[in-house]
Amino acid sequence: MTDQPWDAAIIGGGLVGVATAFYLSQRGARVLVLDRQELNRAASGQNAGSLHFQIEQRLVSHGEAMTRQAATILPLIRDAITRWGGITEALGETDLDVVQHGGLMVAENAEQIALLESKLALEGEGGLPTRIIDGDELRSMAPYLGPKVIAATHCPVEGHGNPRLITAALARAALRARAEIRTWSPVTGLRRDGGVWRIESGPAGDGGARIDRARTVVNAAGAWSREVAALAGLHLPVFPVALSMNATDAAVPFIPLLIQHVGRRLSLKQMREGNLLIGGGWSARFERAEGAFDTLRPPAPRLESIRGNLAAALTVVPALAQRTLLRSWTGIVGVTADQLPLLGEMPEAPGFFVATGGSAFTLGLTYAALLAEMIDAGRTSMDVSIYAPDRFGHINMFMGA
Amino acid sequence: MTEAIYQVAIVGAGPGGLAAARECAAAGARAVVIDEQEAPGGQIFRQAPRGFSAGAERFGAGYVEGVVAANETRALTGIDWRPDTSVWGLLTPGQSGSDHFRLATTSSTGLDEIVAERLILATGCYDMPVPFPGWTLPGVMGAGAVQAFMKSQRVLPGERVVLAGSHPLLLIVADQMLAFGKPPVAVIFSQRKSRVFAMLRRPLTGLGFSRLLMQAAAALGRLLRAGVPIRFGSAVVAAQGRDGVETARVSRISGDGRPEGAEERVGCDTVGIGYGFTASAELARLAGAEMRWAPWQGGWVVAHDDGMRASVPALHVAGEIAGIGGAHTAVAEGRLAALTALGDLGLTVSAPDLRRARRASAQCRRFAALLAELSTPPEGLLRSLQGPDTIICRCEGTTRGEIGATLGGNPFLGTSDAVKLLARPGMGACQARYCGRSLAEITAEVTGRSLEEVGPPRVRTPVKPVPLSHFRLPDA
Repeated sequence: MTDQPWDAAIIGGGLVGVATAFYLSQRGARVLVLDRQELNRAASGQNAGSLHFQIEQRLVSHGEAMTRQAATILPLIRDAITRWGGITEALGETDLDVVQHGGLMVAENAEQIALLESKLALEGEGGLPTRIIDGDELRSMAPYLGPKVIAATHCPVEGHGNPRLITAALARAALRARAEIRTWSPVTGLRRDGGVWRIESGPAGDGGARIDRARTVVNAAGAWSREVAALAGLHLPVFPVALSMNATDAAVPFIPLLIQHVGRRLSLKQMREGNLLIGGGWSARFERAEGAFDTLRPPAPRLESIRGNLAAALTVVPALAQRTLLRSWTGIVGVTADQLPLLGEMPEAPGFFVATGGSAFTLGLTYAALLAEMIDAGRTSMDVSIYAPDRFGHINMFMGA
Repeated sequence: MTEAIYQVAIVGAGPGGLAAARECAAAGARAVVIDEQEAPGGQIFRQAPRGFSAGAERFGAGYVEGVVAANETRALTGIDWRPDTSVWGLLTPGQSGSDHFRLATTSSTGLDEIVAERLILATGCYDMPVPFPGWTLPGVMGAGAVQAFMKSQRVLPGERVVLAGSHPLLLIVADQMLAFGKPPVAVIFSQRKSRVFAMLRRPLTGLGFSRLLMQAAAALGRLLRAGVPIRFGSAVVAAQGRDGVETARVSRISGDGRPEGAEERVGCDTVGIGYGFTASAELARLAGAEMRWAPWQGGWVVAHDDGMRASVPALHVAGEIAGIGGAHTAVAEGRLAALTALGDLGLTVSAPDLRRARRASAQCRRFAALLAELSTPPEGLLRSLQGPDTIICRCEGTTRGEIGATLGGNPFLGTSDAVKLLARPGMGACQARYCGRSLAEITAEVTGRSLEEVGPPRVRTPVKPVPLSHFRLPDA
């Protein structure tokens, strides 16, 4: 073991963790990534890859105050739009299936159109290029939409990333920049020791734990951020949520846009290989262990979710009836108590950073870039104080390592 | 929704499922049998459509008896039958949030659901896919598929058929072709002659008898008398042709299991490959049952106790998914699984019956182990058939070289699932049935991890692809 501590030890090998490793090691930092199992095996690889920049259905459907709060995310969104646009080149890759041909959020009735209009105003204030379209313009832009769809908001820079590919590409680039990645290395202990963090990892039992020291720790454990914070004696209000997604067989490309619905849980897109991914926030069911949620096992699907999600997709794009359902899968995503991102240093634990919550696939690269700025430069290029974890300081008042 | 809650649901109407159904009927249990085929019997007693029934005797007396028995079981009262039906989703009692299994089914009439207290899976097996250069050409198929053509349609898939592999089934298929008047061009065993003959003598020794091996020995005699060329210590190393297979390239196998010496070209339009079978254990895996790696007895098979209970509560297994063992094993285990399930339900089960079933199952398993040992190809042979350009995942067209490059370029990968996610092998319509084993073997070989660590790609719902049109709401 070298005595030189790591500049950052990143816990969690998903999109946020590996991207943070990439941005930090590009800045010359010495970085270690630890993952309990493999990279990209939780929400980062399980989500449906939407690059959705319009304010989401789940956020506009809980009244205006929630919608207005959700709009505070727009500065991060603006960063994500350009960052995703440049990521393929930045990683020295040729094709990571990052597509920004635009996206539609569709409506089927007057009530839903009103929701579109209210979010449109906020998006305009936040500098997002969104507009409402209907009639012939909508049909010519998206001839595959079913007759029940009567209007949509169009955002020209939406699209999709590919959850299968992006994290591995970031990991390859991070390795080239000399980051160290250790898989199958669950972190089992975390405490301050002589001004640095002491990180205990590795399979407990045989061989014993491995000790690393790092100036900073990044909690990038997504849905498990709460457990990682607890290792350092801290509370984080991050809750695991079990969701399901679906994929059809491959079709000739016919849907270039990201399709979302303002009044139903639906996201729909066609990936590079022709398969259509259908999601939108339909629940799965946690396995239980001794009464508690078992988040280490994949959640069980809910047949009702599969049926409901596909029925919604068929209404919006009737031609999907010619496809077959190839697979449904479930994943676990971390949701914060107020649905806003948790991003920044925890005041109770100097050098302990967290980034999770919000739309962590769409915003993952942005979170990572901001963390790298915080850790390397001590400040960020935009004001992100409203996402800082100190807003939950009251639950950590009596906590600490 | 008020639906019947069955005491036992049986998936698979092959010998194992039918044996279980007979016990359920005898005990008066409310039971349902679900099967993908129109007629009962599974693969081994696969039936031709009505009106096609002539010529069954060519498959031998055992086949005719099996079909009759299957149809008699089908006629039993008290059992519900769901033929022509696939189970695409499965929730265990723990996963469904109820006390019951929920099975999501699909048939020509659409989606349906079956609710049951106990589940017996007897889902059988399929020809073990063996990738080699040209294996995706039309005309290259499993030896079991050649047989399925004969049983279900009374036709042969080609005029000039080469059978190759290591399993005694090759002899039985060849014999049935002979009865059709069209014997194969050649039957090619990878094992040496002495080993195959030793195998065929074994049924008459020690343990009792194996009907499959006796059948194979009789078949060998008939084939030799008819002058059908049978070779040993050789393998088909490549299939070639323009729009379909035209030539099988045959090579001798060296002592260390590698092809050696000059290749011989055998003209043919069909190649039937028979190195063994893969357990159709997808539903058991979906349920989260503990699996065990049994390379020459079905790959990943379901671990179970001496009453055929899997690790998931109330889940029982029988036959090939518990380890390839043939029809007699499946019958013994189907009976045992049902008796155990009925007993667990609180129904009266005769202790002597249970003892007999347990003894019969154990005896069958000893034969299954012997058969597996004797029909295993020379070690390293199948691996040596694959070149960098050999397609491993035929749905997505992923080659061995591409999988190797993915592993090489991403040193952090350590499971089949992670490789699947990145390079797409196993993401197509067959849902990794063709490539799952090869993918795991390559991943293990390149990473130096064990097959247990690398695992098969995870099974997803739906277990068989479902037309999306089934999910359309009536008003949409």
